[in-house]
Amino acid sequence: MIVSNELLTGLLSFLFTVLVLSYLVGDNPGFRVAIHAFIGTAAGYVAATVFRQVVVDKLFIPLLNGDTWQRVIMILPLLFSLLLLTKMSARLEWLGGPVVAFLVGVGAAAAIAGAVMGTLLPQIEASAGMFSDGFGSLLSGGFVLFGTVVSLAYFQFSVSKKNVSGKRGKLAAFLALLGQIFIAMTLGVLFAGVLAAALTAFVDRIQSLVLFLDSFLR
Amino acid sequence: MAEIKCPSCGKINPETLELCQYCGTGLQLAPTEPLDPLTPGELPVKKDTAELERTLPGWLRDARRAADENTPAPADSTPVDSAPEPPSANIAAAPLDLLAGLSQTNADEEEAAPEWLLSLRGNTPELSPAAEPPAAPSSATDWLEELQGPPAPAEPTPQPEDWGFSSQATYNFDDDLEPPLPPAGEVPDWLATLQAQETTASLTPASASEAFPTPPGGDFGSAPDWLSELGGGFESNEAAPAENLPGPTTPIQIPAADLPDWMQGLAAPGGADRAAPETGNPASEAALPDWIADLSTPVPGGADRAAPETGNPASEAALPDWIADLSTPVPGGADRAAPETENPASEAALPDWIADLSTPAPGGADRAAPETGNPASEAALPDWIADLSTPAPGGADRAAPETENPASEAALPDWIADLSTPAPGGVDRAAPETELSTAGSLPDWLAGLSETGSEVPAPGDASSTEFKPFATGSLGEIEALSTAESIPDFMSGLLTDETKSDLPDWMKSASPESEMFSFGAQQPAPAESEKPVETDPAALADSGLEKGAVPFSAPIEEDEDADPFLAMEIPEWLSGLKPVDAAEDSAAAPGPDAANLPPADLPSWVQAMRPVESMLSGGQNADGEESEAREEQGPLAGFYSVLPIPASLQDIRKPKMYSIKLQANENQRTQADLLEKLIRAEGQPKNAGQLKESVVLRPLRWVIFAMLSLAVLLPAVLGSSWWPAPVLPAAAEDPFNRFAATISGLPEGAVLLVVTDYQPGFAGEMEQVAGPVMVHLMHKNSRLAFLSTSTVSTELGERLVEQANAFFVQNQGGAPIYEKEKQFLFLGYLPGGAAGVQAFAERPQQTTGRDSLNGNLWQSALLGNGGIEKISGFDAVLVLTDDPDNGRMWIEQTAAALAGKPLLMVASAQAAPMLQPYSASGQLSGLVSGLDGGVLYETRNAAEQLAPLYAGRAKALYWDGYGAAVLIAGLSIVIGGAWSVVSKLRARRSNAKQDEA
Repeated sequence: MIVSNELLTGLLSFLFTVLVLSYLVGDNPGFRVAIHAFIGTAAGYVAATVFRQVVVDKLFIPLLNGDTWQRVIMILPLLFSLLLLTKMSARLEWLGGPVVAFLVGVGAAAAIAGAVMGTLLPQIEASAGMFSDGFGSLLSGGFVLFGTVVSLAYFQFSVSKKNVSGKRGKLAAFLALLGQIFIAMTLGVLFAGVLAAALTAFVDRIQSLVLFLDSFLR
Repeated sequence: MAEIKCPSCGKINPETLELCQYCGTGLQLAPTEPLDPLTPGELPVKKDTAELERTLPGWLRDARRAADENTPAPADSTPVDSAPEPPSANIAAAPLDLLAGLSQTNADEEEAAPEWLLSLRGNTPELSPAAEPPAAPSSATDWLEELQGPPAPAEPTPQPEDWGFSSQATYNFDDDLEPPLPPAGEVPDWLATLQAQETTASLTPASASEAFPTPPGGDFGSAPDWLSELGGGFESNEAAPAENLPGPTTPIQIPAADLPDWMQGLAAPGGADRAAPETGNPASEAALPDWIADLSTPVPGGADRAAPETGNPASEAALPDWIADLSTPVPGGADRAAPETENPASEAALPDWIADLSTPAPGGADRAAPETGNPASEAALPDWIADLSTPAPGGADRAAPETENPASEAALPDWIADLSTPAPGGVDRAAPETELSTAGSLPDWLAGLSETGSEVPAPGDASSTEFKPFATGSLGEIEALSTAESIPDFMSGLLTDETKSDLPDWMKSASPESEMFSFGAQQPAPAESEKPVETDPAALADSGLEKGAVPFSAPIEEDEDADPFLAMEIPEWLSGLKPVDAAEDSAAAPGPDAANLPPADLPSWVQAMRPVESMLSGGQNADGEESEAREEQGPLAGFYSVLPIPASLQDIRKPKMYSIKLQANENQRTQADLLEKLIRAEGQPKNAGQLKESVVLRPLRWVIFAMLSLAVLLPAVLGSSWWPAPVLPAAAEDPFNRFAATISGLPEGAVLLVVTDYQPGFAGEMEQVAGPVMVHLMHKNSRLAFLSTSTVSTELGERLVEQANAFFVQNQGGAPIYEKEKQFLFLGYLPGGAAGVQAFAERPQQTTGRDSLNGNLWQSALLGNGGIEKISGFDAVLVLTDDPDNGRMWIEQTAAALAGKPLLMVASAQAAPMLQPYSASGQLSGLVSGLDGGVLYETRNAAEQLAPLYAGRAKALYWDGYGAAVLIAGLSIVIGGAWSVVSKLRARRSNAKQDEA
């Protein structure tokens, strides 16, 4: 009997699905085996992917097969990579500091610039544009604006120096309460999305079990 | 703690002490008002001391009066305006007031005082007979030896006068140069009583005449009356030969323990009769002062009195010379008269009155010769000395002058009178003594002393009658007696600590602890006292002594300052008595309570001796601040640096006390306590506290799982489609419609960048959502370049293509079968996160697409042979993500590089809410999210006739189960929420009931 690839894949899928669902009865070795298998497989896959697609394709090949310019350019990434490896040594970890600083700096700059240029300003522009698109948009924009203001008001925890009690004022407390409601709705929506995604995955797994079993029954 | 400086030694003592821990001086002194200082050069202001005269002792007043009468005052001297007052009733207090200022002096003050005055305050060791050779003819004691007249003849009878007044009086004059004993008018009562006893007894033993030979009818000169009369009494007593006495003396036998030492020694028998009680009571003899003990050394027998004295040379050496001579065994009257006749030079150096005093008494034929041979000297004698030296006719005859001289008796102090009371003679003398003592003429303490005697001798015991415990020259003896109840009241008052300090110095110095009695053990003299002093010629001239004959002299400069005052206030006979060294008096420190005397009553001559004003300025520095110690009490009050304070003590400062207690208010303490609690809590381990699994949680979990499983499984098994499909949105601006429109608007064969950034765990959802989109794209024959920013999702794009191909192959949908590197390829993993996305957006060929196996993918025909240099080179970018952050990253980093190219996003249901704003803002060209979005897209594809079979798959396989699961989940949430509300309400009610209970 030749075990097809689909059968083996289906069998493993069924097995691991059951092992994961076994967590329903609590932490058990089957669940741990499934978790460890997933983590190990993922880690191995990541390592292989990174080594092949990053170290080999983006460092070694240019150094070995690239022209002089490419080789010269690749010296700096190679040097940085070696310095990063010094982070594993407590005595030499200071050598990797500049490389980490470079990576963090570049990543922070990209993230901040992208957040400002790609999220903040476009969102402000879009929110402002809502007030110019008619009464409906005005209400919608006003609601969004109100929700944004009260949500920000909820995260306002500082009080004035004159406030000896350390508690919010009545207006700030009311706005914070409204912001709390908006935040709660947002978290509810997010939870609903997570629940929907989880239910979809659950349906997929149940459907895969049914299809696997159906393939054997048929 | 406060400190008190000792007024005597100047050392610092704690406040709690009453006596100085260094010198024993009392510390609790009452402040005394300072006296006005005398400026240098200022003449002493004459003070009206008339009132003070009454405070003078009677003997001093008499001496002053006698001096005024017999000696012309110097021309430059201030006339004495003394007005002798009748004897004060309180005689004991009189001398205290007189020498009040002197009693407060300390060592420094004494240095400034004239030496002659210092000599008045006590004897100096240098003047002690022990320091002087007894046989030195030029010493001061020589003339006094000669003053004592010729040696008394051998007298077998006891010599009561030897212990009595004769020894005491001569001692004060000769040995210590102290002021003479008070005259009869000023002496205390007890002295007067003794005197009366002496006179009324009319006993004139031979020894008395031997001690004070007085020429008959001699002039006693300036001697005080009381002393002259006393001398007369003694004359009669001493002159009485033993053989002339009616019988043996029968002294009162007083127990040795009750007698002072010196009296016990004084009671030594002079003859065979007296030797018996002494030998029978050796302890009492040993307790006597040395000089008195020697004086009263029993005569071995009969007239040979020299035997015991020669047998005790040491004691004899300690005696004043004249006393030593007095007690020297006299073989006979002729032998005793010989020294006088053999030493005319010393006799010439004596003052007249003393020379007269030294005239032999006419007690016998031998003694009468020098007396008669020097009548002129008798005239120069003071009255009291003249009386003292009044010759007794001898035997019973000598008692006659005493008995026949009531006037002189009246002048004598009582005690001296008693003392001079002649014994009936020999043994007969004891009878009056006993009669007097029993008659109550004795002081109380003496009476008590005699009464407490264990055995009272029978009359006729002369030895016992000689015990007269008057201690005029020895307050120490009185003090010793003060412990007994036999001390008279007035002496008891004298012996208190307070009054003792008020005693005159001469009385203090007479105490046993003074140097007067320490003949054999002289204290080392200070260095200052060791320097040679010069003799004042004037004083010597006045006193009639030769220069150098007197071993004492005062410094010239001090004499110059003191002379006017001496001439003004001091009698001549006192001014002539100058001590050798004033520093020796420093040993006789005044009593601690002497400083309590008021300073305003000081006589002018005492004030004149006070330090000058220059000492006042010494206590102030340049700033006018007091820098030195200022006397607060006594006559030196107001002066600075009189009593030197050790420099070490001056520099001592009590260190300032600093509290080590932390100065913190209540708020700071509270905050410190809170901080301490926080720190302590951080160090304490906390139990993680395993969550208590609710009893219903596990069954509930099973129930929910069962419900969800059934809800999903039944539609999948049954293949039902009872859950209604979602309706396509009508609005064109809806993200779904915009997404579909964008895909529909892509040109045929468009190159799309498909980013698969979702986790494999969400593949079940994402594939159901992205599957219809992929079918739509495959129908559009779009070329797909898969890229992933996640290492685990690089191959998910291929899975999507394979699933679509499988669907198309299975269903014969008419769609082309996509082959790798023809219709799609994998650019691989894009590292670097946001930076990598940005870099890819700007320079896609430099970031990825170079495969070691496949080469440069950018150069493939699929990607336009390297024509795509930017992300905008793609016709559209489709991002498949389950993470809103990854979707936001692609939106943010590629917004500028897309250059208007559509950015589509297929998102999981959990990321859709976060990506909706980007879709609403137009940053996303379309968004399809969740299973419902996939079902909608299938519905739209079916409507477009793109993939009708495929379009029903998601709906057929997942939608009903998904719908049922969402329903069950919703119900579970609602039921769970309701259960939570009910549980809280029940908890509140139960709490309320518990509170009410």
